[in-house]
Amino acid sequence: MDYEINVVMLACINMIAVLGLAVFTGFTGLFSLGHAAFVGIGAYASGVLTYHWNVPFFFALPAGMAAAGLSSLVIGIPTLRAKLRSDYFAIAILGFGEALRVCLENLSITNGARGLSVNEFSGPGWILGTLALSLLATRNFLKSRFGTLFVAIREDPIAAEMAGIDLFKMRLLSLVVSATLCGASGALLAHRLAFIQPVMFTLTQSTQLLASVIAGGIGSVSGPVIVAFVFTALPEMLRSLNMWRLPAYGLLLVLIMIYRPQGLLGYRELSDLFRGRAR
Amino acid sequence: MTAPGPTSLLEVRGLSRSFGGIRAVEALSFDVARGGIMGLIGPNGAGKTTVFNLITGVYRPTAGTIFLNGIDLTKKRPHEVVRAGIARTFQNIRLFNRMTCLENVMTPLLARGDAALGAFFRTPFVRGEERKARETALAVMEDMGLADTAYRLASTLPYGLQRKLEIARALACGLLVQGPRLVLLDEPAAGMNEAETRELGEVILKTQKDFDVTMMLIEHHINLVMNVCTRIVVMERGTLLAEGSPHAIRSDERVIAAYLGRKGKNEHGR
Repeated sequence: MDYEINVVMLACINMIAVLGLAVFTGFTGLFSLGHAAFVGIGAYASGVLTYHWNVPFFFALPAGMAAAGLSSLVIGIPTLRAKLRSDYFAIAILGFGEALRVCLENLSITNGARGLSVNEFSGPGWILGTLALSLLATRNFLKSRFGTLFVAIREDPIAAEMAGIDLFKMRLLSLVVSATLCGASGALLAHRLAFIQPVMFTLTQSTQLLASVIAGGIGSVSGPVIVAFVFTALPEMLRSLNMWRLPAYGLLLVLIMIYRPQGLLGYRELSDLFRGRAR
Repeated sequence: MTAPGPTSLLEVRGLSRSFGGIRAVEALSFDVARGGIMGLIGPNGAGKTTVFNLITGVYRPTAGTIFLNGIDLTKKRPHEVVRAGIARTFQNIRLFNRMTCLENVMTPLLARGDAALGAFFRTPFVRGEERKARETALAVMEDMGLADTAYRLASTLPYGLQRKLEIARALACGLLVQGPRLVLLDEPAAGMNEAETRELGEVILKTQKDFDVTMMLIEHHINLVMNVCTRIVVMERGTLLAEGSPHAIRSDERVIAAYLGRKGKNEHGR
């Protein structure tokens, strides 16, 4: 039973990061190949605090979120100001992620490539509580005027600007919110696994986050979050199939792209289905 | 700062823009009087849309100035230009397709909202602001005869209504602006037949009066231009060819040679 709980907890942690990327990619329409970096910053910032200075997790978690949010300004301000097109932005943030990995591997405070052994603080209460709060806050945020403005930017940046939207400010806001959520996911991850290493936060992880958002559906919160759960839990459930589980994961992605190119819940939410509202 | 004349809303002075070696607009000067509809016509490639893009801050001019009611717009970014009182539509309709028509019209109103951190908690202030934007947008749609499309996705509207919706969104941009407003329409009748074009002309005249805005209109349907415009600027190869009342433009030899063609004579009998 412990094993199943562990898988579910990891899936929930992953859901928070995917939720973050859904705000940025699904709603604001910019692709990112570097969001694992924000998960990593959240993990390391909180991990360093609890490891070196015995900071209580109650403070380390928000510190990890803040560190991820602030660091997103470093990459966001120059690239979003230059109005890089979506694909160029994805490459720029990929570079940011790789640069971060190199930094983490060479700093002594992070214990370099050997990784950092932190205490296991985040129990199910922390994880489920953070997930619930994140979902609620994100839903409110996307229901507010910001959600509408983000979607307008995704639909047509030029028209959005001519509707009086400050593209730079709104895209940056979207990035900071999404990075902050990824930071929360990272802080929880670090103190769940009790061990973090720079290689845990590279392009592979960023790609998996993006795959969950796309497969879950652009413009949806519930779709990506459900898919994030499935994508984390499925490889574990299929462990008995041994070597077939990774091809199965790939096959699932391909099938989604062929038969549901808009993703599981493209442009709608789970609640819409129950209300029977067709869009 | 140049003080604008009492009646001129937009002052364009010596406006130039080149792309590489191509001079798209060169030393263009004209005034748009407050109230009324100014037509901007000329052959394809004359630089009409570039002028709109320069006025709205999409492009930076290589030289020249643009003043709206005494405010220098020359170095402003597009969203700042919108907030100063200029809104526009596009040659190829640009709607927010995956949003409802109502949300399309609400967007410019929400863009100027104040809700910030409260957005995470759905505070009463946030809800109030959204309700106000919704009511204002619905009123605009009512005036434009778009009320029953409010909850449809913008992409599902027929072409003519999409044009109308785009105009409604442009009008909404000006609702929170203090002072006079200018709406730029870039070929609104493109792709319309004669009947649709005539109807569009009525919509343009009506909204110009109802919303008390000044309009600028790029258009190739010469009948529409002659019917609705109070004044016309003719461009050719990036420069000003002629300016005057519709009547004067119609009989201007240079305009006939460069753009209207001899056939224009037949239209006198209309």
